[in-house]
Amino acid sequence: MIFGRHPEKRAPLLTFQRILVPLGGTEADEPALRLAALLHRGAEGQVMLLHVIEVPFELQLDAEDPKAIAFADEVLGRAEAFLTEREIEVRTAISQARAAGAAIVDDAVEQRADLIIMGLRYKKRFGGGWDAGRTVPYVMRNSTAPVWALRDETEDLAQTP
Amino acid sequence: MYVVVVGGGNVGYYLTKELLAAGHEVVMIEKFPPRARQIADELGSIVIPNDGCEGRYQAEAGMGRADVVAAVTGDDEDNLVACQVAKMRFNVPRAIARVNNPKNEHLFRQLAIDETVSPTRTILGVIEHEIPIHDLLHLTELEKGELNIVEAQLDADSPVVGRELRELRLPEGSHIAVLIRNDRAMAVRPETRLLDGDKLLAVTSTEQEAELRSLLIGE
Amino acid sequence: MRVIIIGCGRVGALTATQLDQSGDHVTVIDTEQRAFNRLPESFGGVTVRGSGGDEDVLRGAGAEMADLLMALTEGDNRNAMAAQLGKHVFGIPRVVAKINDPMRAEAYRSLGLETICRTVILADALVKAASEGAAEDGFVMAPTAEPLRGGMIADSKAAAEAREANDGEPDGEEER
Repeated sequence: MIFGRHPEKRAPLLTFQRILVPLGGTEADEPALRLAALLHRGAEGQVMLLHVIEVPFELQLDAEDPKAIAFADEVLGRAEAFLTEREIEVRTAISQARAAGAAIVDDAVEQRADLIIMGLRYKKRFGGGWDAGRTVPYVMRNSTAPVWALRDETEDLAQTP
Repeated sequence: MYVVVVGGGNVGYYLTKELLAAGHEVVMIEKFPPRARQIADELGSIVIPNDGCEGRYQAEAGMGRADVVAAVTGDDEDNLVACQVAKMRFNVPRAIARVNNPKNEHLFRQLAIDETVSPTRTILGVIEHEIPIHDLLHLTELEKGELNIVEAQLDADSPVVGRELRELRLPEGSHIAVLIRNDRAMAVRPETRLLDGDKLLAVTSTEQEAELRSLLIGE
Repeated sequence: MRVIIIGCGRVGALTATQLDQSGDHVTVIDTEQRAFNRLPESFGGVTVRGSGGDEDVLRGAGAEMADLLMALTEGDNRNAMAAQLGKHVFGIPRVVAKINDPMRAEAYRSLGLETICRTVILADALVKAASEGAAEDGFVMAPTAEPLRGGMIADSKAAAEAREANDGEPDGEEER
């Protein structure tokens, strides 16, 4: 359960006005979006969608890759449609960075997010264990805002090492 | 400028910080992952946690568009290989190598490493300035190490004390540039007589250095 | 032929021994004295304790007169540097560097070094042996004796064939 730092503010438990949902563009995004929709309360407040384009060092940071931008637009478009159907106010943004984690943490600060929700892929190394990747652990470690990471159900479990 | 720094030890770390502060774009390649992470936590996502001598990781670091590669690890051979791979595969315009063992410097120069920096030699120079050793003190190197500016301290034993400059048979390619006497710099004239305590600044080629030394200092 | 070998590990020691036996004049350099224990009593060459990347050590080991230098330490980079030292400072006609990273080996070939790359050699030999089988004198060496019958895994194909050869009948039901 979630406990607030100040017990007198205990009810209502879950009100978040500015939820940041970074989208990687994979199936891992879906549970995150659904949760954001569920948590969103009332006419005030919004869900902020962010897609970070990771630029390799071979290119300058502000180099424009039309394919990456088209992909970003598609990902954000679908997610935005999902939320507007449920009458939720949405903001979308694309950012370019060397590493997504840092860009997400920065955006959360800039946008004064009071919650970050991220989806996790249930990734298996070749016959091995579960891999959380680089971005979610980075955000977990470095964000002052609360961070929830979640994954969907799966058919086969990763092996335990 | 876009600079790739190979090596995240103290030299690489401070070098990266200074370059960033000066407004350059920098990527560091450091092969020990905990150290790489530690530096990235402070300086941002600009550290690649891999072996900077490998073409693959140099490519990942964008070596193809680098203006300068600075290989500053504690191992001369790693610095050599990193620079050679960068020049051979990526045509980086300037490759700078830290050379810990001064004896390796001339090999590096022969292998077309553009600039070498030997901290050992630099500190040695500082020490020698304090403790006069009867040798030619290297002040700086020009033309990729082919020419040196050296300082010779003359004392009573020196074969040239008491003689006029025009009497000296200087080796081919060596020139006395400046005379320092009583802490004042003087232009040298053919009739200048050299005295005990004079300091001469000379330009000489690496090959002629030994000859110049025995002429000015003896032994 | 006057050969200098840098690195008295297993590879360096074996190479030095064989070259010495075939009549070459061999000098082996290693930083550790006990590395030379890998050389046989009968080794007729010279051992030098020191770093093969040090110009003075190489000079003392006779680099100026050497015909061939082989840099065989475990460090690819050390080998590349020592080989280049031999080639450019001492003018040794042939220099070989052991460089186990195939990409780096390629790069150094274009700089005039002969290279030997363990990774490529082993992989090539294994791929060849996979289709052509092992041989008495090949890189993948055939076994010199067959294991005792009692040591066979009971339901293996080989065991079944052996039993068949003995009984003259196939073991229908016992095979899984």
